[in-house]
Amino acid sequence: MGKPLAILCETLAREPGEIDRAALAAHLASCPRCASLAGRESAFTRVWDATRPSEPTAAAWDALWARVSDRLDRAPEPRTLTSSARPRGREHVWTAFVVAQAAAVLAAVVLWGAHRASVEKAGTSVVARPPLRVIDIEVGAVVMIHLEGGDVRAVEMARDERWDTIDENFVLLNGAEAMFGTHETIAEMHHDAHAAPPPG
Amino acid sequence: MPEALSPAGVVAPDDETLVGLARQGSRPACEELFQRHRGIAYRVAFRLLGNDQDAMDAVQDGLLKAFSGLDDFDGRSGFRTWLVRVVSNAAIDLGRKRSRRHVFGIGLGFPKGADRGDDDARSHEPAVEDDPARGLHRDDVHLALNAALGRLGSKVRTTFVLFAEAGLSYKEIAEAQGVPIGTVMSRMNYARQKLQRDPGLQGLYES
Repeated sequence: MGKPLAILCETLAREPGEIDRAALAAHLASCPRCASLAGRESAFTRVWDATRPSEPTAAAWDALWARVSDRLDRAPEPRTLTSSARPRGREHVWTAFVVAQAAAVLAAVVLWGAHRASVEKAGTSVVARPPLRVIDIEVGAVVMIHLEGGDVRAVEMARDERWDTIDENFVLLNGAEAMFGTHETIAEMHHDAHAAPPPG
Repeated sequence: MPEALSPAGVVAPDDETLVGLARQGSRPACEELFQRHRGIAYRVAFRLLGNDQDAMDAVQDGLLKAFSGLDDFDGRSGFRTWLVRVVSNAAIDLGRKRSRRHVFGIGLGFPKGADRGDDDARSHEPAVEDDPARGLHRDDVHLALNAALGRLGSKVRTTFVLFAEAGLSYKEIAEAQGVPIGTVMSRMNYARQKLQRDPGLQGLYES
């Protein structure tokens, strides 16, 4: 059951120029399922080709190259954070979870040293330090802002992509079984494509 | 890669030669490589990001990374393939920083139901020639496909674009994304199913 699709998939996976078109055409003529798949693929390809983006203008390209060339000419700029004087005394390690709300959020992370409390206690004024770093947080993102040793890191905790949290092959195997029936799975197609006997 | 023959009959250097010159600091060599491969870099970035401004930014970022890091190019794949990888990664990074934006054509492409009443302007636009478009205007088709691509996850969308727009083989895509070729096959299968069954595109497939 998996063999026809395996043939198509193996054919598509080959390096360009190695596709045996005659063999593929002969198979499509005799296999309604693959012919249907190929027909859908062909229809989509026409849509894809029809929406190919227009080339930018020559002026746009010239401007882009001018910017690239200018940047290449300049010495690479070191990536430094906007830093304030290191606080005296022990540094706190801050970990904060931030969930971006409505509009794009620019989170300014300010490092406060351990000595602030003691400074306040002593009655002296606390000078607000400039932001250690400005972080751009995408709408809907859940971000952990981790501050340690003067370095600020923003780690995205969750994204709206299930591929990052769920084993993709597990999802696809289940999906393939639902679409093609219990006898045909991607695993079987892989086995067929590599001429290995199916499991069990 | 064979040398190309220019219209004047002069043999132009191949990409490998140009990369060697670029590594030695030749800016004209860099520019020639840019001229040769900017189109495919732009098309890939456009498909990934959905609009021309972001695509140009991604191409710019990618070119800077490529020409600043030519030592990372090991020559196993062609320069074009390597540049496409670099630009697609730049596009992904840019996409994470900016939400993937929907594009609305100026003067056209108003959403359905919008009370604009500017049918005259739209009627002057040429219809997409092929049957699948069924007389729909290019902007409508583009919007529908852009939205469908946006509904794919970033990794699946990248896999699909590298295959469908850049023409990379499954093996090259697997190498570019650092995944087994089986994962590429799975992603391509998933992307095809999703795009071919996307409700926004169904009207384009009927014959």
